[in-house]
Amino acid sequence: MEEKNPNVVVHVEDCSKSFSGVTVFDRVSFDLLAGEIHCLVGENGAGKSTFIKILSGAYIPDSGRIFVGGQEVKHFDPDVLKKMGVQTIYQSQFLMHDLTVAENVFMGDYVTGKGGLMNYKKLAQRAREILAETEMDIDPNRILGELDITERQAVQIARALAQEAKVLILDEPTASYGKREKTTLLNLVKKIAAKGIGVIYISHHLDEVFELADRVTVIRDGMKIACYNKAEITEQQLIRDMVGRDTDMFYSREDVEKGEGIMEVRDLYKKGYVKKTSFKMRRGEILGFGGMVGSGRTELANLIFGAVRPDSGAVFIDGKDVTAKDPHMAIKNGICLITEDRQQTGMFLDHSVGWNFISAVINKKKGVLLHQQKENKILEDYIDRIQIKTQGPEQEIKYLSGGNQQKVVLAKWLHTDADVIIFDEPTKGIDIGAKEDVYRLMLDLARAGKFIIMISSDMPELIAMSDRVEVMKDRKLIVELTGPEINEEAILAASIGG
Amino acid sequence: MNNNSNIAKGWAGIIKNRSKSQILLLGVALAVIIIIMCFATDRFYQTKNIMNVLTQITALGISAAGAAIVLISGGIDLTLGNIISFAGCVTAAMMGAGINTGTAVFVGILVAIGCGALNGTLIVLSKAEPFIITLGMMSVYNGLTLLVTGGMNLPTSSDFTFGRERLGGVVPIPVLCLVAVFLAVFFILKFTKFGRRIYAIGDNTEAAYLSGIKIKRNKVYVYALNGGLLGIASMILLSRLSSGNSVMGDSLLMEAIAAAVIGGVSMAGGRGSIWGVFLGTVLIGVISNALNLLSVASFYQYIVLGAIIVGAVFVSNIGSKNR
Repeated sequence: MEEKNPNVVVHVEDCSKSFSGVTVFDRVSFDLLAGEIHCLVGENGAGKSTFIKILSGAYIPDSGRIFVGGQEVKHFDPDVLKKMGVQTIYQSQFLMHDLTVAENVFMGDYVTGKGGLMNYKKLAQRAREILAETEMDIDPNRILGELDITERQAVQIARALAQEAKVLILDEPTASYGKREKTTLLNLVKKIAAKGIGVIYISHHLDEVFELADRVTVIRDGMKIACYNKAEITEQQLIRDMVGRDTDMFYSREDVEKGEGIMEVRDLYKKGYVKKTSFKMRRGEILGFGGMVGSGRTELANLIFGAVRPDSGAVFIDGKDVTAKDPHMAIKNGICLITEDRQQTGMFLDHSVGWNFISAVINKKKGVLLHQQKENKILEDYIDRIQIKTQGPEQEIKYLSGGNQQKVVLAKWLHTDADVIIFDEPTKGIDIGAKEDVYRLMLDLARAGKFIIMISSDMPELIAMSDRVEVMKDRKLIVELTGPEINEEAILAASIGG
Repeated sequence: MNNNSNIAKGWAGIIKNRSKSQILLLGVALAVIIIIMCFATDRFYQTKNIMNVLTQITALGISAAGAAIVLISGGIDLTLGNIISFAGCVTAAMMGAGINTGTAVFVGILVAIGCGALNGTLIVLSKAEPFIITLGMMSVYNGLTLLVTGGMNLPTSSDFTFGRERLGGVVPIPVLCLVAVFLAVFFILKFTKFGRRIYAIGDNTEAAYLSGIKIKRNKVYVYALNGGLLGIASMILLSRLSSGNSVMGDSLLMEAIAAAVIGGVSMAGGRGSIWGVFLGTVLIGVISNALNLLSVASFYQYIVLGAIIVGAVFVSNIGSKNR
């Protein structure tokens, strides 16, 4: 039995997890050895995060067993797993910026003297010892806010070490890093592993995987597809494993004749946000944007829409400059953005469907008065046309299903009569029926000669709907795919390739 | 239009809608107090007493309408009482200097609008919490008021009596002002784009920005509008008192915010109706009047008012799912 091997620090046996009947994690088995760097790869939504959440105790698996350090995990709770030695370092850093490095390293676990008072000297001394293990030269008395991002990462790792980590899970640690910082972090990870700690490393960057991994496990649709030793890994094989999907999952669309007009994005740029980006598209075209989460697609959309003001560059529709400095201007210029996060950025939850429907259009047209009743009549047409299931304009939007909320948001933006419609993950979290309604609507808009930009992490959707696909990586466009080039392997290879 | 759908949904629909259920509860509470008072004392339901109550709540009601607008937009303006004092004292001082009444009133209201707009501008530019900015500005306006008055009572001119006059000898002019202000604010909140933007900003600022609302500009407008309403409240108060002093508006801050919150306006922004604020104002006025008629000492009245505020917020949050 493998769990008897003292070198196995994590042993996962036939673990499954489902949410409301949908299996997101399917009978996965997995091993992590002491001192090993084990990389996890997979597409967006393949199940990597679910796995991490199970391992860190945030989710309770429906079935299967998990052993940490030979001991079976009986009770899934973040505190229990931490005590067993599993430390997770998330992309967003849970550090206190106004406290010292030492205080951060021992967060909540301070060295105290008589009467429970802080002993700062001892605290700094012990922090120095632990930081020495990371071989990064950090003074424990510095304030965390003064450190750069790799130093902060080291503090997080030191914190994990202070809690006697046996297993360190790193989720996309280099997401916002430059080249130099990346190298520093990768070296740090290697040192940690060399001390006998097992490291689970998740990355969208295959070059990092090749540099670090002792073993690589590929996850797809919640299942473990393959596990390779260092010597066996090839980029082609990994990508092939990550893809492999049945063709009947793809929606088939008709072609739409392209119009004359051109929209051009020219050298759009914002420092540290999106690198210089240019592309052109024609009326009636659906231009898909592929890439991993965090590759800069949403950020590019924000620049085009003026939600974030670009440092330089311009946007043209039929030769007319429509560069927006804020969303107000974008809407006036006929650009709209249907954001990914409906609840946070798309809807006014406390208000009615009709109220939400006119929340953008009132800022486009001149005039003082609202005319809610008149607008509600127009909304009735949309309710029929895109089949919004609602009691009517008076119903509060929070009582609608996710798909119908999304349709109300779509109606809100279509009502502004925009020329350029940017969809960011348009079908995220909505049911199949509503999805097809959204696709049909997109085609209607293409037929009407709109410019349609679609950001999607849903591969079948991206491939089926796009006339062309631009792939982004590291905050810039990396490749453009047309016609038969648009397939999962090509998109994935460009998104994560070395 | 909301009424029809609510009646159709019945009680369940009303209870689901927290602000509506709070208004309903408020109406019931008010009715109970009025009925009790009608039995407790025969002075309560006399026209004279009713008009008295209404006159007494005019300044409160108009400032509560201003406070409500700011709260709905997700902000707060603690300078409410100080703006009232400052504008009132400027007007009184101008009258004392022999400037004609119309000009003095006009300038007084402009000063109030200016103070509001300044608050809004500082909040927008500093990106700081409105609470702390207006807390600081309370002291600034208080100091300015003291500079204007020199710590003295400033009498108004003899023709500045509208606050004590009655239409047809029955309806006090301030009450007409109150009704006009509430109708105007109702119209703004319900039927204008600006009103809609106030709710949108308070409900979800990010979504409002992405819907093309100019957040900063509209916030400044909100505080300026609040200033304007405080200016009107100040003039009515000044005319009723027939003199201005540096603390004339002080007690109104707490009462106005209380009236708004009791009336179902959310401190978190995005929710609230002007009719709720009206009922909240009347409730405070009636209770204060009732306690007076029952000869309850004013010290106890403070305790009762405080308890009502806490109680109202308590009730309004019972249905909320927030932990």
